[in-house]
Amino acid sequence: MERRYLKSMGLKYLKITTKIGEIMLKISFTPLIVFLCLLIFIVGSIIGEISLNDLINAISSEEVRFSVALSVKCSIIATAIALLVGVPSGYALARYRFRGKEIIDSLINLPILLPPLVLGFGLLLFLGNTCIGQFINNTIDLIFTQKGIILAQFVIATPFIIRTTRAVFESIDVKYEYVAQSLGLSRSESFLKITLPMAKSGILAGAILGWARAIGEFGATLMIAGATKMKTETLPIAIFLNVSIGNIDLALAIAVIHIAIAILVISLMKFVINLNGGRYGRC
Amino acid sequence: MLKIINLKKKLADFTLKIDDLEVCKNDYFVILGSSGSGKTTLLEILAGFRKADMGNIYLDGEDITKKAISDRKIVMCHGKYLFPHLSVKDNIGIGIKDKNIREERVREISEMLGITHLLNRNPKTLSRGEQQRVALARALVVNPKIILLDEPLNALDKLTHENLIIELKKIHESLDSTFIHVTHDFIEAIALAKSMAIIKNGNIEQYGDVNEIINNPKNEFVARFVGYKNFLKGRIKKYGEKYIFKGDLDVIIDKIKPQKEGDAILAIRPEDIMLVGDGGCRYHYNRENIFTAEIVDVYPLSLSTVRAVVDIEGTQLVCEVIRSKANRMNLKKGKKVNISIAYSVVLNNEAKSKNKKTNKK
Repeated sequence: MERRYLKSMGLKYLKITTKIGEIMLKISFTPLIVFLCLLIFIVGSIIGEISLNDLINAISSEEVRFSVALSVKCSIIATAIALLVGVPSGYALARYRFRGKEIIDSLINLPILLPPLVLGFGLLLFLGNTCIGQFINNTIDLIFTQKGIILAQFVIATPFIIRTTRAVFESIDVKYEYVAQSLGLSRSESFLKITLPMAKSGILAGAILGWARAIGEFGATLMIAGATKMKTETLPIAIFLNVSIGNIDLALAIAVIHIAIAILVISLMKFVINLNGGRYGRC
Repeated sequence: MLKIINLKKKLADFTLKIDDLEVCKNDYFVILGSSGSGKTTLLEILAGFRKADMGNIYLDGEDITKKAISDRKIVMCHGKYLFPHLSVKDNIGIGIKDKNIREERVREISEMLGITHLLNRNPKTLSRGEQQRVALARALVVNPKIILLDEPLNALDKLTHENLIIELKKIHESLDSTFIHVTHDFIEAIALAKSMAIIKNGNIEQYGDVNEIINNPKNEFVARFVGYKNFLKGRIKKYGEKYIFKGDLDVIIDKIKPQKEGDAILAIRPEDIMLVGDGGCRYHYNRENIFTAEIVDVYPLSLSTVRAVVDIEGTQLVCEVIRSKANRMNLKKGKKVNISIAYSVVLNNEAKSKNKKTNKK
């Protein structure tokens, strides 16, 4: 009797849990599919509007080639500088304890949270209105130049690289470095020969992410470097300029080039993450 | 060789406090303690991975307390920390800067440890036992004064565990390095150690020669850690030449060693209780301390030994018998046997009271 009761209770429990499972499946998958559809519609509406001929014509136009070259050049330089700043900063945040560490960490994340336009506006005010800013601008000439684009892209990309490298260094046990030092390696040798190679893939993933942010940067670039045709015309600026003068075909072609770059970046990221067995996937 | 004086390190839940500890040259020193007792922290302080709050560490007379990790000539050996981006060969050779010497030293040490076939492998693909061997090779290559082994035989299968114990012993004997080995496994400790320290809640309870600790544990905690299972409460009284322990059982204790009269705890190892009942060996060199007991429980402990719980007028004792003898005696629940206590230790009364204090805390 008792056994039959328990069995019936068990079946009931099983039925309830199966039902809960089904509901959870529906609840979790429905928004995912809705959002995925939205993305497909956005990308589709850009790609669907353009013919292959228009795309070839656009690619062969001098303006598009200039903006692609400028974007790639500036974003690579900006990412390289961001790596020079971001990797040591990430290491410092991961390895050392100091007063105000979390406040510094929050401040570093500010460029991620602030609208790029505000950031660019701030930079413009700093370079134009303050003594230090004016001195820097007089020395390097940043406002309304291609160097200004690099500065804007650098400010946007660096926090991503710091965040990623911090997470990577934190995931590597500091004892690896200590063990290397106990074997006779100096502190710098243990970093260069042990920690840095171990963090290589994670840093690379961070660099790709930072570069993707840099190449797509618009707001801050617009504020500091302006939107001068064939001078400070990066890919996003080129879209903005062409849409504003009604040259939709060219703007569409540039948007497609941007989408292609984004797909390339995602593929590169996946490749790097797979190299590491998915270790830095959630950085 | 290594001397620790007044070392203190405050940790989250206890303070590591070592007043005085000395490790001799060429010693195999085992630090025995349960998880969270501070033994790994002590190793990390010796290696320089952590800084002590106060105190001094001397190595060959030189104060190394504030010395950089790389200048200490103390190497931490841990299979978990093999560098995953380097091959086994590069892992072993990383400590040698001269390329010409490196190749030769790596080959020499790998041959000694029998790992030449692993040299081109990635450490991630090695078994735990192999990883430990590689870590040991990596440490030996740089000729350190002290090699620190942090639970090197943990989580190994029984066969690899046994083989590595034999290998570690051989390697230590063939070199003039000092080994400091941390473990929670008593068997591992007695198999390897020349000297031993028992650590509890950050304090060294006792340290010295292994046999001395096993035969004369300072207090109940040490006794339990080194295999004593039976603890009887009572008082020691002197009757003529003999000292008698009167308590749960009346036991005549070692008359060579002078004893203090008063409250005491008598500790007895299971192996030191002989079963001298039917079918067994009727003769025993010590005609004293023979009791009639009833077997309460019998269960196998290993392939060769059987553990029996016996009851002597309400006092239960745990004893160990070799399996063949247990079979010959036909040990089973309810059977009456004679037992003889061959060796017992009176635990220090002061230590007992000190122990009580720490327990209350």
